[in-house]
Amino acid sequence: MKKTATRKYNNSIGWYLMNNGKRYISPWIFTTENCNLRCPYCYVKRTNKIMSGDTWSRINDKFIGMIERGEVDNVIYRLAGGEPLLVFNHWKGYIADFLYKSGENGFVSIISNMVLLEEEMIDFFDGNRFGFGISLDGFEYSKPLPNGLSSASIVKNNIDRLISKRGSSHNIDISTVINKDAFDDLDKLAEWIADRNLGWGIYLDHFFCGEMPLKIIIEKMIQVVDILASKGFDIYNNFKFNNIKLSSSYEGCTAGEKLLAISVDGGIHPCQTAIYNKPICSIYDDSNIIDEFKKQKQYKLGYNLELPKKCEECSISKMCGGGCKLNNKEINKNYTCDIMKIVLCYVGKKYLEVNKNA
Amino acid sequence: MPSCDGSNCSACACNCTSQSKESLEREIDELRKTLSNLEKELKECKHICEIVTDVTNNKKSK
Repeated sequence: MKKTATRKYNNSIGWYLMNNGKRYISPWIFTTENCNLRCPYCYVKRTNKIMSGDTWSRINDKFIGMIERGEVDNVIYRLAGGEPLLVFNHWKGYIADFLYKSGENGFVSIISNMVLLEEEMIDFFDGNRFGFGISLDGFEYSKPLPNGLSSASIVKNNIDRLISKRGSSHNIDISTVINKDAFDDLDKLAEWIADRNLGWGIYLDHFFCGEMPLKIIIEKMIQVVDILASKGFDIYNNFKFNNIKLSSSYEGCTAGEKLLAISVDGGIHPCQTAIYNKPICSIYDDSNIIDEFKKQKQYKLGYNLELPKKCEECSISKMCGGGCKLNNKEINKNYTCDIMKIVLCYVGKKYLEVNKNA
Repeated sequence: MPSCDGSNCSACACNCTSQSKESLEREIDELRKTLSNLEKELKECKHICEIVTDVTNNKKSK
């Protein structure tokens, strides 16, 4: 009989897919460009645009068709924006239709700031086919409301409501963007997250709206990792720093291959941060999305990936996969690689120290 | 929205499962090797060593 470890994989879709030879595709869907927060580093141009019903129908037809034709085994919608919960009533019917027609092969992730969370929404999200990527940058101060005040207490309260109603913190992942306004009490946020056993990803601000000294970030990350480890948090599986995780089940950035982005008007792009560039194709085309992505030469990512030369000599390039392929060139003055290596080294050593008998 | 991430984070989907002990042991062995190489690489970079020394000293003094 196969021996199994007792540890559970929170993010196990990757492990599951790798070990079962499953092929999946995950469209990041811009449900709206409108948002109820005013984050200084956001790359989305806030407008009142909402995805039309016609575009939603095309998306469902396209991706359910890919499952039916056997082009992929699983489809994972990522409902993003803007803030997707602002337009919940607009898309809930299409999502119910997608989940029904995709059988057990469709999943939905809500990429939200979680400021708006009504009971009807929590009821709709019941079941294990929903996941959540929730933005929370700090314990006391997080992403500002339009009046400039912090959204942190509202968001934390809503996360607790979500956990309470679902009876579990499973599939709830916190995304924290490092920025100077919400950095000092990241240690308190670490305690809060560890107490709830949530997944946690901490990211450098790719667009550098509030650059911070390297040493300060590293010191805080060490403090955070120490707290997580002391509380028995699974830093191997449930913690990632700038898109790197210790676990080999984690694939890193898959933009342009498994991940694509669909703008509110149906343009298809290789990454959500490229949404204002010329699309590779459109949801209104009859073309095969995978073929279009294999053919594209506009971006050096996905099927057309070329890793930077210096990655060849790097000891963590297999884990990192080259980081953010689109935005690296703008920010990488050897800053991103240094901090990733130092933090990852600390996280790995801490994991081995805590799990001496592993 | 956060600018990340294009990856299979737990926001994507579920399927809680367990991993075989052998597979986990292999992964951890691989991690040990990677960390050993990474430490060597970091020690060869003067500016990184300076940062690590500073950070370590600050941690000790707190």
